[in-house]
Amino acid sequence: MRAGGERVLLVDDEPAMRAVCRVNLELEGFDVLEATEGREALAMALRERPDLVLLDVMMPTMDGFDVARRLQSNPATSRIPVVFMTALAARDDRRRGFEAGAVGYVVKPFDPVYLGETVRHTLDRLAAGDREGLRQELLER
Amino acid sequence: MTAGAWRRHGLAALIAVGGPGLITLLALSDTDQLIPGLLYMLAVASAAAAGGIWSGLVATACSFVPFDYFFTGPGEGFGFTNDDLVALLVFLATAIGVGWIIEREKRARDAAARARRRAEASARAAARLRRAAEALSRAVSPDDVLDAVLTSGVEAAEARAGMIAVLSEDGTDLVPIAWRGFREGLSEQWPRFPVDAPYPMSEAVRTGEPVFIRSRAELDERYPALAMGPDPTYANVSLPLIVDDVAVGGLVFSFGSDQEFDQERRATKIALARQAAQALQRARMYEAVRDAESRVSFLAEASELLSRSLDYQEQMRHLAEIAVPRLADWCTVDVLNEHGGIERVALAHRDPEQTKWGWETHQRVPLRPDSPFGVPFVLRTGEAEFLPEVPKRLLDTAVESEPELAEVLDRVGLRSWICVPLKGHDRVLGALTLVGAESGRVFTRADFDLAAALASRASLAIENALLYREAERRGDAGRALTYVGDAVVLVDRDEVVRYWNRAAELLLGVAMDDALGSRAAEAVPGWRALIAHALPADAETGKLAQSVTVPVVVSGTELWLSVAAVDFGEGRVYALRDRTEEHALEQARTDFVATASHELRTPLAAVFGSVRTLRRDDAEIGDANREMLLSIIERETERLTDIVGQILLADQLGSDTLHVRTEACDLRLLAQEVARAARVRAPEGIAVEVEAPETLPPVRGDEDKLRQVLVNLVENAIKYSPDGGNVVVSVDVSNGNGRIVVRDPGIGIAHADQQRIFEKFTRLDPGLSRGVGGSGLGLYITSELIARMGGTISVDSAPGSGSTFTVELPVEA
Repeated sequence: MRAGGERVLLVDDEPAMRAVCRVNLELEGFDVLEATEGREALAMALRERPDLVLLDVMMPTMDGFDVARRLQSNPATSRIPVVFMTALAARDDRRRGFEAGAVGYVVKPFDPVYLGETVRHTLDRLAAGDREGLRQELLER
Repeated sequence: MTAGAWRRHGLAALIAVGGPGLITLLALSDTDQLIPGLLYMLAVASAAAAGGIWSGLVATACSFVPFDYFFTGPGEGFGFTNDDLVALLVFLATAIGVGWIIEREKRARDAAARARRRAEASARAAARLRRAAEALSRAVSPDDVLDAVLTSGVEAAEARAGMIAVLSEDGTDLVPIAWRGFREGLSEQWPRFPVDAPYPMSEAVRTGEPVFIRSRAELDERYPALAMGPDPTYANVSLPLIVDDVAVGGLVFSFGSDQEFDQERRATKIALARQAAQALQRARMYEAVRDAESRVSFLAEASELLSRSLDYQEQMRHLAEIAVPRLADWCTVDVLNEHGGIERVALAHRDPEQTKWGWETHQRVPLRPDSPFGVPFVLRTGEAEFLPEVPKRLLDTAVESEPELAEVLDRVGLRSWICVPLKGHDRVLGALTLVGAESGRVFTRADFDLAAALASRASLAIENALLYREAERRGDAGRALTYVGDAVVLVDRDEVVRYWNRAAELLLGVAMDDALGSRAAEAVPGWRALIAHALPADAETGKLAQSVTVPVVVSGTELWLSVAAVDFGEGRVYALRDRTEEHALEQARTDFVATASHELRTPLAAVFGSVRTLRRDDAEIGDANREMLLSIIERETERLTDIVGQILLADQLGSDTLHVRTEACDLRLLAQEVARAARVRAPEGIAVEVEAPETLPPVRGDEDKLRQVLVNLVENAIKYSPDGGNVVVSVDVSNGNGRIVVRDPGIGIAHADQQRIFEKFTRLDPGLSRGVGGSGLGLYITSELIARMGGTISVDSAPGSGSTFTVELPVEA
């Protein structure tokens, strides 16, 4: 099923990862914006106001948690939902993601075929006003 | 008769005879009566002169009758005439006058004699007092004092016996200290008596006034409580001994007969008592000094004896033997054995029979460890017991709770008690007991102090002996342990180091001499942290000790030491091994697994994601996307191959199985080739430049390995320059060496980390938070390869200012 062109900002320092994710998100009908590191991501989020940010954690110069906190702290970007995509799978890492304000947490490696579906599901629940429910699931997983 | 007396008698005769005679001659007309009258008058005067007035009067009566009958008139019988009356009066006057004079003379003579006798007696008493004073001044013991006093009494044919008693330390009792002349057994009957008892001496001491008793009857009447019984008792005197206005005791004289005590005798006795008191005080001081001297010499002897042997049981036996009877009637030494039991190691009495009995009784009636007093108490608490005079009720209490003691106490006749602990440096090793019994000795504070001094010397001796024994027992094992590679440390229960081998010196940096005898925590900083996690095995259970590896800072360096501990009876043994290198390697391996798996997972995720995407059948991917995904698979697979290759290479380097060829290499060509390949893969914003002179002599090396070095350096330069910029590779020859310099504008490396980066498995950021992937092997491999080609690598960098790596290689000859 094709979506109505919501825009997703994809932040990852690995070009291969970005390419694979972009192809799958576009196949699901999303418009994909790309950033390779934190500061670029912050600038783009402010300029483009994407509907959702898919955010890698381990990146040079600024880690994903920091990027998310900065998005949160700026009123212009604080409502943009953030979903982390990271190899960090420990419980403590999830908690750090939660504390950085995320609404989703996808552990690498994941099957990119279902990435679009995950984004769609998240946006629907947010549209239904279930932001907190999503956040709780993030912790409980 | 003195001249004066003759004169007085002459006068008397003249008055007696001349006066009346003259009157008679004048009065008597009849001359026939004159001669007989004068003769009779002479007789009367003689009688009065010889016998006094009364004999004069008798003589008058006897003279007048014949005078009147024969001479007043022949044949007239007893006719009383005027002449007769005159004669009678004359006779009477003569008798009375002469008698009066004579009697007065006699009274005067008697008074003079009495005065002379009194003076003589006083002189004798004074002489006795003086002699007594002299004797007293020489007296050096209470016995001497009593002798001096009694000698003086006996010389006066007065006292036959005497006794001196002094006030007990608490001032409640009088304790006889010297007896003379009393019957056998009286001293046992009167070991002491209260000051407030209704006895003469008690009263004298109490009031400070002497008590004089003239006879047994008076004694029984005034002091019925004394109840002297059938003993023959006569007069006696009780005198207080007063020094500086304070009664210190009493002196009693007993006489062999009833006596009167006039003022002078009383005064003499009081003076004697005063001198005796002074002498006694002096004697006691002298005794104290002599005691002190004897204590010092005793202590010296004991110390000498204790140092003579290393067998403490033997030492304690000797100690007890010299303590009796000089210091006490009984002496025992008990020690606590390693199981906490009480073991008697010495028991001594002057009489071998008594000693034998003592041992037998001890076997039969052992000490109760939980006893609330005596040796068990002292051993348990480490507090001394000192009872100068053991109260009867205490003994009764003891017997009540431990009936078996009755027999022991009965035979010993315990009177005075000292029990002092033998203390090790902080545990009670044993107890030294001194008992005063049949000798009647009462321990003083000085005795107690001596016992304490003795105990401290004995403790030291025991400790030394125990240490020696321990050392001996460990001797052989110890010699072997000295050369064991692991540090072996033995501490006793107080954590005092008792063994410290060579490896411990090297490992912990503390010399054996400094460590031995010190507390481990004081000798080794960080000791507590070191042993905090050690789980001691118990030598008794036979389980082997588990070792734990903990960090500890020794002389500023962090070491990782494995610690195993084993408890045994007297302490704990620690075996320590330096595992710093193993620990570092282990840590690096752990980090490596984390980083390498991440590093492998990233390209694998890309490959997997690409394949899954290519296989999607729910949507049209498009040719361009398909082509891109396939090239991702190709590239990431290559990357995987590289990583695996690096791991293998590092392993070969580690096991020294890598073959490095030596050939001529063209640095310029190599640099251009690597830069070209890097540009293809470099992210946007990164430029890779090569600076090289037109011609360059070849260097000596392995071309493949050298390419690997260049690739690693350039890839690092790109990877750590996230903000883009120019990565410059320059090659040239300088000082006869070929030189490669790779310069980047990246994040730089802190000075402290610049050496570490060449070590195996080192990534400056094992937490991966910076997100820069890497196996942690790149620079290790690089530096190892360069070293094998005879070259060197160095780095110049600062955080935020980029890094410059410089490789120098020998030029091909």
